[in-house]
Amino acid sequence: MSEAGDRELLEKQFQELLAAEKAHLPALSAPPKRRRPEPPKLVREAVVRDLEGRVRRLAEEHVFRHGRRLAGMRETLQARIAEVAKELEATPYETEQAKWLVYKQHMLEQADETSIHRWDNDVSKIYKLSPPNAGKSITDNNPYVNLLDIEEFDVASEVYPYFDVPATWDPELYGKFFTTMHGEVTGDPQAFLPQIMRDRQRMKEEALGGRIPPVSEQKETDLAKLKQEIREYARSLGFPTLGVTKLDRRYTAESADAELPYDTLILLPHEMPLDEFKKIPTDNPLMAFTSYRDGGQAVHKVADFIRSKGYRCLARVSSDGAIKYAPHAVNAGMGNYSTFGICIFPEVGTRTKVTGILIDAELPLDRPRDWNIEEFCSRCRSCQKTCPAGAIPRDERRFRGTLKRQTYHQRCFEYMATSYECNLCTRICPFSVLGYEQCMRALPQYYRYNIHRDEVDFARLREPAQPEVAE
Amino acid sequence: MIEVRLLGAINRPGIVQVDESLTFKQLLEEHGGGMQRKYPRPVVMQVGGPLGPIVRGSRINDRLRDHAPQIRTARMVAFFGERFCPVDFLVFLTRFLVREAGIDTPHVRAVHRTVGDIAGGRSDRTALERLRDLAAAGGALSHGERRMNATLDDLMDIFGDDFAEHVEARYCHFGVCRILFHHNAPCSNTCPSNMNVPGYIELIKHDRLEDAYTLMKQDNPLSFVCGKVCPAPCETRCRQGDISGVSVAIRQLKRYIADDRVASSTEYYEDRLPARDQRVAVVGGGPAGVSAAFYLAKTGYPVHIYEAQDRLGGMLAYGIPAYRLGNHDIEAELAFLGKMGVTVHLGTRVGEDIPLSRLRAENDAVLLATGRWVGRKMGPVSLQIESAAEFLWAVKQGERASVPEKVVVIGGGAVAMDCAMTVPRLGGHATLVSLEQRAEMLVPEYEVEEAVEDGVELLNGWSVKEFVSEGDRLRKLVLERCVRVFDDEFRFAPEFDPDERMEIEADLVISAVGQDADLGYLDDDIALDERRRLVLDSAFRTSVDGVFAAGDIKAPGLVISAVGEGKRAAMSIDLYLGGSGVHFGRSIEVPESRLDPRIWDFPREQAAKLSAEERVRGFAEVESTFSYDQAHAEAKRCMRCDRNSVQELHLRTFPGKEGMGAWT
Repeated sequence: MSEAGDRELLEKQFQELLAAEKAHLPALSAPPKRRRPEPPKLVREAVVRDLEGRVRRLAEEHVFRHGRRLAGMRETLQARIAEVAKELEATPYETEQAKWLVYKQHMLEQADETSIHRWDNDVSKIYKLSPPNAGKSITDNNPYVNLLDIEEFDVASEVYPYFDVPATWDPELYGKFFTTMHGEVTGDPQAFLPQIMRDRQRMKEEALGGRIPPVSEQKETDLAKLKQEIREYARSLGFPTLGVTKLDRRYTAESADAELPYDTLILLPHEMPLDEFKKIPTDNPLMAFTSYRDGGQAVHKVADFIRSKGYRCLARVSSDGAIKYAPHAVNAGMGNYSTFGICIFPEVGTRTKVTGILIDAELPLDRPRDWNIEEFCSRCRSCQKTCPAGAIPRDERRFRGTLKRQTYHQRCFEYMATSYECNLCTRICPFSVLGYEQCMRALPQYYRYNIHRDEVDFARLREPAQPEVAE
Repeated sequence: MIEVRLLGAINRPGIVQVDESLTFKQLLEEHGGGMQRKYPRPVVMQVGGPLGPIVRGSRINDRLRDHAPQIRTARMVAFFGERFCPVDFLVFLTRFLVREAGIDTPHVRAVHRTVGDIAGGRSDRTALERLRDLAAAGGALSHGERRMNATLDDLMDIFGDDFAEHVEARYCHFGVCRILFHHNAPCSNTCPSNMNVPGYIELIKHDRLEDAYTLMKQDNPLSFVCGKVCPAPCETRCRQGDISGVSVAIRQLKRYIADDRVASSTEYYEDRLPARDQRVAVVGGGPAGVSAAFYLAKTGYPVHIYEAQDRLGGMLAYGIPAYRLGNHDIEAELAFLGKMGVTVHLGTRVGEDIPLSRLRAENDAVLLATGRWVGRKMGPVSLQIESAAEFLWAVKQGERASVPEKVVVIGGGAVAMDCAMTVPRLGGHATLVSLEQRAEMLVPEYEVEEAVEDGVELLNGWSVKEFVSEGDRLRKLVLERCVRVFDDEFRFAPEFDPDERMEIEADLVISAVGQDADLGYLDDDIALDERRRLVLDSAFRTSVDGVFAAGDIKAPGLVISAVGEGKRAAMSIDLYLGGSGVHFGRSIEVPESRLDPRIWDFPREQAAKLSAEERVRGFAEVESTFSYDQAHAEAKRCMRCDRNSVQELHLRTFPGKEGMGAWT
């Protein structure tokens, strides 16, 4: 692929994507009727109310109907509101009051139990509603996600834009950067990127409605059996484990909403072979790319398999960041958070790139559980001590309504971009190198009870005891 | 027949079908494959899952049937070993109740908070009372909470002293409660002198050996000696060892640092606080006495050491064979004492040359650190039966250069092993007779292997029944099979099988079955207990004001234990004399370099050793020090546990959903 060709391809992709996104803008259903709250007493209530009504119509026309980022919209809307305000001789304060009332009202009308609100950085500079969020109640009740303040968490998407996009992410440089790096390390500039890009392209196309392989007419009706079949098929393709949960859209990129039409998410961590993995950092620093490449191909095969069982589904490759996989994997009980924020799976540790499949079927969900990983990590923290960028924090801190060890991505990316990837945090993790069983031997033996938790009769334990019966 | 899951520190965990009439012991040995590691018996058993009753290990002969109701509700029997910390178990259990069982009630939270405070080092005595109250709580509780109360009650009964240790000393001797660790690291926590192990290992990486030596001396003034002779309890609790199975060679790294410093610097600088006028006398120049004298001198006190022998070092100088530790090593390390204002009176036996009462009158405080020098002897009075202490003393003094052909050493500890390995070096053949099986001996396995290579014959599981003499010459020993050493309650209670006997020939018997303290020099007002041991409190105070005691004099222990006790006794003496704290030396900042990501792949470095033939030729030192490259490679294996955060893990709350099954 030449440099110019590379750029052309990316530009074409981008234009196609934009066009497709525009075509797929979801229409919001009619909001449920609610009692309108009394507005606070303002300086000139009549003016505010008048303005509010007109701002509402403008906003509905420009923002709410689309509910997403569109170039130039913000300026248009602001200009129109300014015109109206001038017409009504409203003060700037009254104008802001009116706008706030509109947005807040809209937010409240749209909200229900499963809703979350996202900060709209582009258009309204205020909260806006996300699509219905099926995974919210799972996360909100997951004891292995340290939510401190659910409301605060609701209004903050976990996926937030970089303040300064790393230079390597510039579309102008992207292809050249990676092909140069791959060439220097492997001798072949095209070692990984074309296949990774093909699988990404296929994912995007399918997600936006084009060229989806046919879905079989024969539906497998037993969903538990289907899940087991998917598990076994996936295992044969290098996915040692599988988990099912609901998509929590606080952990997805807002711009990808149109690509994520189904709420049931199958998580498939693709295993990096141990002997290859151990070549990080010196012998094969680009090990991770083999997993992006092989996992991307494999997940499409699993998706095809699911279609052959009669269900619509969409594959998500691991080189794409629209879905944050770690919290979903913790929600699916596949593992627990590591010190550096990704999920540690008992089967592979962190020696994996996670892929996913969105499926249009109510597969049985997995439940969060304790794998003693948090406990083990509190006595290890090797990843924090090896990180060359100092990007892994020593202590957890409050962040957007959660308590977590938040990796400083700015430092991490900067290092990765200049040092042939890095992967040291995954490489040092004893779960990846030595395996789960060996790590568990280092904990006091009573932690094993967590592993055999299914053999404990919790229903009986939760029953009230008779006061006189002391056991 | 019932089905139970066996788990815990056993060799074959898993689900088994067993008869209810089995005892725990049968269950453990026939189905569980026995306990892991060296420990033949479980510390506690738990029946019926995480909320079942905790049963003392001594009740190992109970039948399963006696505990059947619990087994029917959760089919599990767990055997826990020496790493069962009751405080950490309760932290685990309360978190399990809230998160896995979904029993998130104020009662469970209250227990969680209280044990969390204990494990986090924020508690006092009232925490234990609070726990007792909580365990007795009544009212509307679920089965799970009632079970938790009963488990809590069991634990407080069985582990009362250990709870108290967590609360009062803020110490977890199990090495589990990580927030209480000395220097945050399990190795430092296990070291009786609490050396900053990760700190000095890190300084090796930066080639800052002088700083490393200073750092080691903050906790152990005999670092060089310990680098050669310490059995390294720290290495049994090394986190790298727990995870990968092979611990960091901590002792060798210490030796590398000390070797370099002792070899290269003649002018080693010791900082001191300004001189004070209170005088301290130390009786005994062994590890405990020297350690206390060092820290007291650094703090400014003029210290006088009274040593009965002709050189300092105590048992190090007279009890440890030269192939492990030469006298020049001790001298090299102790050279600093003179420069620090410590006056050493050699060849001065307190009680004979100078009465203790005079020392007490002339000094503001006296530390007794005279160790245990009286070897216990077995059998009849005979020139052919020697105590280990006498034997090793004579060999090291050069007064004994040969042994008869057939030498029998009796005993299963480190001293017995030293004697047995000395014999081939003097041209004899050694047979070691011990009650303990090979795996039970109180000696590291590599040392046992080395002894076998040197030609020592091991007779494990035998007891000496009879000494057979012809005339006044000892000829033979009659041995009787020892079936087991400890009873089910862990007490020393050897059992014999009189039908299995054997005879071995002996020209000389060395009895290494323990040593006693000579307390004859003590003044009458210093109290002894009913077993004629010194009465000491936890601050090393005797019953008499101003007289302290440390080291082996109270109970036998390792060199490093004596050093640690000397250090803590110095702190206690300083407090008694109205000081403002012992000065341990200038502070050393430990840098934080990155761990090598291949940390689990590196093999443990092995120091060069003499071959068996070279070894038995004489008393040349067996083990060498690491080379520069070896030390750097080995230092990379340290996980730097001291850099871990000391925050507790968060247990999230579910606002508005407290109670049963908040989220399940």
